[in-house]
Amino acid sequence: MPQPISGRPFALGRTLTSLVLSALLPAQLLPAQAISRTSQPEATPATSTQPLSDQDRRILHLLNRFTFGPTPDEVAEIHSLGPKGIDKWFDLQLHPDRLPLTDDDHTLQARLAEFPSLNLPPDQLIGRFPSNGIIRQAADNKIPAPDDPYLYAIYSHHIQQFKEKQAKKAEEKSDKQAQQPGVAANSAPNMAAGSTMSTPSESQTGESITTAGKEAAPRKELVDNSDRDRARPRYEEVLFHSVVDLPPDKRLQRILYMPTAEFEQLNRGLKPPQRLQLTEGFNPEQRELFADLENPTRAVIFELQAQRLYREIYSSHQLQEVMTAFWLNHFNIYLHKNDETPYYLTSFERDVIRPRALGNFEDLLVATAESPAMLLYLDNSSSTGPDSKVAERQKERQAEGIAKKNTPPGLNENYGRELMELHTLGVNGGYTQKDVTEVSKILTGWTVDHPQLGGDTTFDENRHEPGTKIVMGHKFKEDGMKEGLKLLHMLATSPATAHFISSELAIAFVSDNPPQTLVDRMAKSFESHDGNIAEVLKTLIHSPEFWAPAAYQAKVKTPLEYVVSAVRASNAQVTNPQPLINWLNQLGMPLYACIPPTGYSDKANEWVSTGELVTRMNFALSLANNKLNGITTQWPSTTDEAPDQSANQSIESLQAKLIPTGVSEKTRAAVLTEVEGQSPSPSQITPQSATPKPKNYNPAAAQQQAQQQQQAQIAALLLGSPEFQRR
Amino acid sequence: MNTTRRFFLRNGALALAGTTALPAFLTRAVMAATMEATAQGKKLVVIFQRGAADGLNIVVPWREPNYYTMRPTIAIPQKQVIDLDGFFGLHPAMASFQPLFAQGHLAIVHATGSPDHTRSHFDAQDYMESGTPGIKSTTDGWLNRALQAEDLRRAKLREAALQSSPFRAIALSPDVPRTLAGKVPALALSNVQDFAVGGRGPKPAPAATAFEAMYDESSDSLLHSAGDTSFEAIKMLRATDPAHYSPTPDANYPDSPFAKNMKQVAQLLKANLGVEAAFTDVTGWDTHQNQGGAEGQLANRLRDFSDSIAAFWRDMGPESENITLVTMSEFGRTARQNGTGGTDHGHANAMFILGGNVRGGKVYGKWPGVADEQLNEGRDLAITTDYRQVLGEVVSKTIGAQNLDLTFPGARLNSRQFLGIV
Repeated sequence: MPQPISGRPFALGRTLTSLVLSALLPAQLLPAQAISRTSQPEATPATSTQPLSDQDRRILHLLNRFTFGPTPDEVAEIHSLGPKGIDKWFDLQLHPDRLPLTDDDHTLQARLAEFPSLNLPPDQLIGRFPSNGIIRQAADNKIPAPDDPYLYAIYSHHIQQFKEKQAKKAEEKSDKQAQQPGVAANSAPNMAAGSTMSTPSESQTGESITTAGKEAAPRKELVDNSDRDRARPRYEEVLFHSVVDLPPDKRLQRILYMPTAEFEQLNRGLKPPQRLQLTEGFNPEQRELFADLENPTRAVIFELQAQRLYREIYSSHQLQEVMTAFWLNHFNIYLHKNDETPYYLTSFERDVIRPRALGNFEDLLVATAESPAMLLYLDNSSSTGPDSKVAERQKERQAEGIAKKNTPPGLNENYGRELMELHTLGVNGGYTQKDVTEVSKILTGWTVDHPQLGGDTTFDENRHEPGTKIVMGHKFKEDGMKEGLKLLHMLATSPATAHFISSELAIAFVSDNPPQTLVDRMAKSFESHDGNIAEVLKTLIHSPEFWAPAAYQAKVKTPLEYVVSAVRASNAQVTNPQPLINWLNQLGMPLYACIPPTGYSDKANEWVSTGELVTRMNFALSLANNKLNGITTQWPSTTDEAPDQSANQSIESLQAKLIPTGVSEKTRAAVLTEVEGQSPSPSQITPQSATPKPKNYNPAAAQQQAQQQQQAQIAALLLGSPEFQRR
Repeated sequence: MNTTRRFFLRNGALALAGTTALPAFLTRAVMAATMEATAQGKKLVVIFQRGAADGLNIVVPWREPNYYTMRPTIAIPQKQVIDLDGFFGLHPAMASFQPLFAQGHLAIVHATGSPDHTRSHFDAQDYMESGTPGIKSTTDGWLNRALQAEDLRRAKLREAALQSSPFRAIALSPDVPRTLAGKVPALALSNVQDFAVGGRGPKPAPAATAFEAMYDESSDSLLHSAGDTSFEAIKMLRATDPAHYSPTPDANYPDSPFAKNMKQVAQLLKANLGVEAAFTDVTGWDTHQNQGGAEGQLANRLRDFSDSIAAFWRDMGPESENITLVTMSEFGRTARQNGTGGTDHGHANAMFILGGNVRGGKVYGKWPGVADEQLNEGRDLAITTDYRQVLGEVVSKTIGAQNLDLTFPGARLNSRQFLGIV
């Protein structure tokens, strides 16, 4: 049984003391604000201040750390599990496959069903949503066009766009060359590679594109909206009306088979409501095809980001999602490393990280090391042994004067270094630059087969550095790919790794500067359980340091935690997560887009900055006031629950839902002042207003609307408050 | 983060200016007077060209025969180069830099860069911005440490600590960039006009007032201080009436995201908000394919780049005297053009330094040559000047960051090795 957080409830009168103290002490040494309300949502509107029970505080602490923000349902669930509810809940979360599906899980399943392609392996995903590289190769006839007629149309469209861009550039080039005569254009296409792969469908592609290219110019004239004839409707309007009333399948077909120039004109001219009309009634496959036609890579990135947010918001497997986010950040991969990364990231999260998030560390480490995503991101795929067969051959060719490149391929130490510094031992893990080089040699040959085509990891014997390597005193005899596996075993089982991972977990779940005793205990558990992550987490929640007052509310939310917890606390219905994705960009934590391999910081000083808080407040205002397209919050109308509820009571009941750990008296007072001063109270909505009322004026409806606005405003202020920044 | 960064005017003139409707001219006067007493007046603007700009086609070594051999279709023809000194010349799209160079405001350092050999954009940018090439564990950025060094120097001289404005270090970006990350608080904003809570407007939105009260009186010291500074910044900015700002009439900014950022940097600098260091970046330099020569992709990029900076310079008017602007990019590009009419990732590059006290009109640095045997790894312009040498000189002679070991740990910079640019 975890030790209780020793409750040190502050009486209202002691707020002054806490203010003085906070000026002298770092915030995390203080227990949370004391003005607390009951967390139970069904409680009657509290009129008196009830401090949280110790059990309430423990439950909220647990949920604040191991979920993306507590919801009333989870609090109630743990209460219902009895006196050992906390342990029982945690054990259930450690085995997500045993958890029964909740309503939210069903919502999640419905949302994920919107993205049928999410389950494809990288090579199929990249064929289904062609990357720039695929389009380039298809345009050069190096890969065949797909057989599927719809995909064929999508390819043709993107190939033509690509060729038009090329032609435009060539034009610029020839203009330039006119000024500099005598220089031969270096544009003869190399057909040799492509012709060996030639298939009937490929030559067909080539033909259709040539035809399309020839037709492009006159078509452009056809669609030109010159202002000679203003009375005529704009051509994109004509196009829009020619398709919008068709049944969905016919409509999609018509759009897909539009000549490229027409589709571009239509797409550019669409107003947001028209865009919705154009895709109305589409099934998920049809929506994906439409997105594919617009921008394939963007479609893949959107689905990747959207599924992640949907899971974090709705999944009842919260611990698994929290740990998935933790490991995705630990094994960070930058989305825009190259054209192919988004396609590999989908699989990296789905096949490598999420299934192992609560499993065994070595298993996870090996899976990341073997993933094409990591091999490409940290350049190991291009690392070559300086004495490998490939390098030797290159040196010979150079000696004979055949080789074009002056430098033979060699080692790339990027992955070798980060593997030790960031993934296992930590920066002070006792390795030297020599060890980095040796590790890099061991890992030569771990590469990716045709990354442009979404290929899988492969071991290339010819690029592997021969001979014995020595890492931190351990000898690794020549053994091909097995050398790497032995190395990973050594790193995964090193005491430095146990310590480094434990420290990262303690920072994520306890405080920015976790007690050394706790980290040591977790590291011991890591070693004695062979890197079993679930066991380390169990050790964590059974440690007194986790339940100490110093840890309570000690963490400041990262932008991701802030945004997702605000959506969860508001019980918002999300049908389009794009606005959340955009807000995360603005908050400086774009999903999958941390450039350095370090991942995002888990510490407050990185996120609490001037400017950042302004953006958080603006997010709270947008969310609570339903300004985000596709995200709906519904604040209880006061007339539903208690018709005569005062502003004060509204604040109390919303605070109990949104910030069950409580807010300070100052925060409450600021909300109250704002609500009483700005929004009209129900009694103020009287007919004496100067503006004439519409005929169908309904005083009751107007009053309800005013009340809901007031509720939204209270919610916005609470979600933007200092208290909601902590967890 | 600590509470000393709270702006000194909190309970003084500015608080007055923020809460009552003082006319804008009076507000500016109040602020100018108080600022003058404290600020040294030197301001540093840093521009990062993300994606690795092709230095050899920007500052062209047009006397090098091998330059033309290695770049048969993308070299800038001698006739079109804007000659600077009989050996180097500017890309023809950068005509707006020519007068700045001729007037002695613009200096160039060629064959400079980061000594680390990485050819990875993200590593190289990271190293460049952290100021510690090859070391990944550095958590802060060089410009932030330069500001720390300035604080230290003042403390040592027992000068009054520079009263810190929330605008002391600013970045025109959604988040604080690596270059400015660190102990000294930096303010990131992507749009000056939108920097407000609950919408812009001459008066604070009601929600903003409520939030301000919450953060102002919060006992959570961390959030209290960041929140307070945010509201200070918003108030200070509102007092300058940003909605009615217009640049100097003869500052012809192009219509581009970079020009927009430069315009806003000028706006913030001119508003006397206490800006000491400003950062912005410009992308689109990764020209692997069809980069063009005198015209084309790179030319368009350079036109925007140089026209925006020249417009900024004119916009600053007499205040340009106190400005030092420096540009950098993570690495240069290969000396030879590749098979697709572009260039691949290389090594050394050129930096521009523009300013009132810059000894311009000169191309600095030792020229390593571009003959085949002179190239780095047989493929790129070699580095003869560590970029930290250039930045070290700039920060020590402008914002007074003289502790070079603090700003660039491990670089072993020595002021005797400075090139004498500033």
